[in-house]
Amino acid sequence: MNVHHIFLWLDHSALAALIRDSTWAFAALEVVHLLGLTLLLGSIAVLDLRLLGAGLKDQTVTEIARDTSPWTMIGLGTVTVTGIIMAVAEANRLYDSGPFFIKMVLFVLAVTLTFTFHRGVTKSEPSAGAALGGGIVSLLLWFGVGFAGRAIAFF
Amino acid sequence: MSLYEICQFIQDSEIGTAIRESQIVFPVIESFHVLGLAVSAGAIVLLDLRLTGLGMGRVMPAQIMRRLKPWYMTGFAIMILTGALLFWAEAEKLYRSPTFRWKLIFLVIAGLNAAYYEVKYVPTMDTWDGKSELPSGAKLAGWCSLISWAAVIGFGRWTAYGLK
Repeated sequence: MNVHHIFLWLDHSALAALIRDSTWAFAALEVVHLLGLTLLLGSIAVLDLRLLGAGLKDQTVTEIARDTSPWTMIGLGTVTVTGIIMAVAEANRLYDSGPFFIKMVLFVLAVTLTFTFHRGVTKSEPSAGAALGGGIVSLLLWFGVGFAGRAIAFF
Repeated sequence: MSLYEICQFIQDSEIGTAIRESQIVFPVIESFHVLGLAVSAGAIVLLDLRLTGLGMGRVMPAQIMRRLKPWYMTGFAIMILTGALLFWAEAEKLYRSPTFRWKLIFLVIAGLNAAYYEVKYVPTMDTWDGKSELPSGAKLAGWCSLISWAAVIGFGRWTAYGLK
């Protein structure tokens, strides 16, 4: 069984049919995906800003990281669950989508960074170099995921 | 000229048409509009989480607002600019969209709420000592903000879906 078969099988699943047959299900999923994305990107952006020495400067990086990370996790959970369901409903189209592939690669990299570097800074202050590097890479990756996601609709 | 005819005129204009029919420009503007959410609404959400008491407990609201305001005001400027360009391209379609009207209604509510908060609470924010509860009106403004911005985002996405 190759990857294409898996995508086709998902595309023919009952869940996919359920969503495609409904006039409002996919739109509702997109709305929730977008709300989760706002929470995810908003909380990450504030932490990354702090890593770059901007935004909530009166707090330490560790304090901001600890305050924002529950919300980042809620946002991440939301986009992941809604994303998986939407991907199942559109599996066949997404298989051929270049932007979707790029988005997934960036997503894996971004999540890895978040669970390693960002998790690390909730425990101890990063060095100036690590903060700068980590902040910039995180912003690029996460906004990259966002732009690639938008590109799916257009290309 | 009726409002509808004005919207038609805007949509049919050279610039409106150019934006709408371009392969790159419309997607790019739309992408910045959607991702600008992170910098605008996303930052406001963190302030609202603090005001409502749901989270961000370590930072005083006055500090959140003072430090994040330049960022979210820039974010909103991007939203307004990209939003205006998107409207320019599809004014007539948006006029006929009921969900877009709801988006505008909630935008106004969010704006009025922000203005009210600015006038009533911002002058006193520095006196909040962090030991007692925040004024109930400030909490309410936080909830109103969360709900109205979520509605703006929801109706915005629904509008795009309806226009597809």
